[in-house]
Amino acid sequence: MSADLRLPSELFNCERVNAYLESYLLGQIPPPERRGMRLHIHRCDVCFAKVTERDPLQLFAPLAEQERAPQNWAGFEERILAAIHERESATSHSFLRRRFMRVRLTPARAAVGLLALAAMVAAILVLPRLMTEKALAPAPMVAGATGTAEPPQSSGDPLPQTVEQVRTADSRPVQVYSMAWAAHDDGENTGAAESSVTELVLIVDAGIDL
Amino acid sequence: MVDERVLIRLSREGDHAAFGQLVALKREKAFRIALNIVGSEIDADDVAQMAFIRLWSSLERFDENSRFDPWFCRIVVNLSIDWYRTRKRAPLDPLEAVEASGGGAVTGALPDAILPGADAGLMRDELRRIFNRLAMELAPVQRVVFTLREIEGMPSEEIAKVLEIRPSTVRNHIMAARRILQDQLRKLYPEYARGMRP
Repeated sequence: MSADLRLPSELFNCERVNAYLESYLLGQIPPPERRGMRLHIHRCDVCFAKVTERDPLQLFAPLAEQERAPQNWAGFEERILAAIHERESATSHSFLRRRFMRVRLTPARAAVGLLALAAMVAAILVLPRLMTEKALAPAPMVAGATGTAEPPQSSGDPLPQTVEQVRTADSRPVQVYSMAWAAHDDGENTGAAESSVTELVLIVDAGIDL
Repeated sequence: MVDERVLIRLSREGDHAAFGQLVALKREKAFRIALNIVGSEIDADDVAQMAFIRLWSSLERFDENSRFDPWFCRIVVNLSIDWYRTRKRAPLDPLEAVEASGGGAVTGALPDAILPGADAGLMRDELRRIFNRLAMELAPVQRVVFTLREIEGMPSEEIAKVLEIRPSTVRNHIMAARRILQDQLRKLYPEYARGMRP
C-alpha cells in the first residue's frame, strides 16, 4: 500500500468532517487524522461555525499548531548542554569535597593522623631489614655436615673466606659463605688499642638456581 | 534522521551530541505544552530548558521498553505546574488583562490584525491572549488536563498516567475546566462564544 502524500489538511473536506464530527468532538480521532480535521475546520468558515456551535472551546484548537519561529530556537540546545556540563563539573567537585571534607579536622584527629603516618613510615623502613635478617639467619645444622673449609687465603684484612656445604635439619643442602674483615684501632684517640672483626655470613639454598 | 530510540540510548550512555539531537527532536512539543500551562513564551522557554536538563539527569531511570513521550511529558508538566504555582499572579480584572496583553477591547471590536485575512501567527497570538485570560480562572491541574486533552489531544488514560491520578479524576477535571472556560468565554468574549473566529 502506498503512503498518502497529501497534506493533513487535504485529507478532509466538508463532507468527511461532517461524517466524523461527532467522534472529533468526543476526542476519538487518532492524532494524525485529528490534525487533518482540525486544519480543515479552521480554514473553512462553514465547518468552523458548525464545530464551535457544538463546542465553543474548539476555538482554541489551533493552539496545538503553534510552532516557535526558528530564530527563537537559536542557542537553545547549546544552553542546555552548557548547563549540563556546568552541573556535571560542579557535581564532581562537590563529590570530592563531600568525600574528603566530611571529617572536621581537630587537633586530636590531626595527632592521631600524624602518629598513623609515622607508624607507616617506620614500618616501611624497618620491616624489610627485619625480613632480611631473618632470611640470613643460619638454618640449624646437623651433625656431621659435609662442608669443607677452604684454607686461609691471606692474613690481615680481609680475613680468610670460607665456603661450606652443609645440610639443614630437613636435609636441604645449603652453601654457607663466610667473609670477615678485621679492624684495628691503635688507640691514638682513645688511649686504648682495640681490635674488632666484622663478619658476613651468606647462606644460599643450593636448591635455588642462581 | 537518527532513530529516537538510538538517541535515547546514546544519551543514557552520556553522549552529549546525541542528547542535543534528542532536544532538537522534542523541543517543540515540550515548549508548546509548557506554553499552554505557564502562559508566556519566556517562561515556557525556561521550563522547557529545565525539563531537558532534568531529563538528562533522570534518563538512566527511563525504562526503554516503555513509551518515551508520556514519560518526558510528565517531566515537562510537573515543572510547568511548579512554575505556574510559584509565578501565578492573582487573577487580573478584564481591563487589566487587556492592558497587560497589548490593548484592544475585551468584548468589543477585534484589533485589525485578527480580522479575516490577517496573518495566522497574529491570529494565534490573539487566541493565546484569550486563552491565557480565561485559563487564569482554572486550578493548575485543570489547566494541565485541558491542555493535554483538548489541545494536545492526549487520551484521558495517558493523562492519568502522566499526572498519576485516576482516569475518572481526569475526566472530572476536564468537565470542570470546560465549564469554567465556557462560562468565561460567554462572559468576556461573547462574540467568540457565538462562533466568531479571531
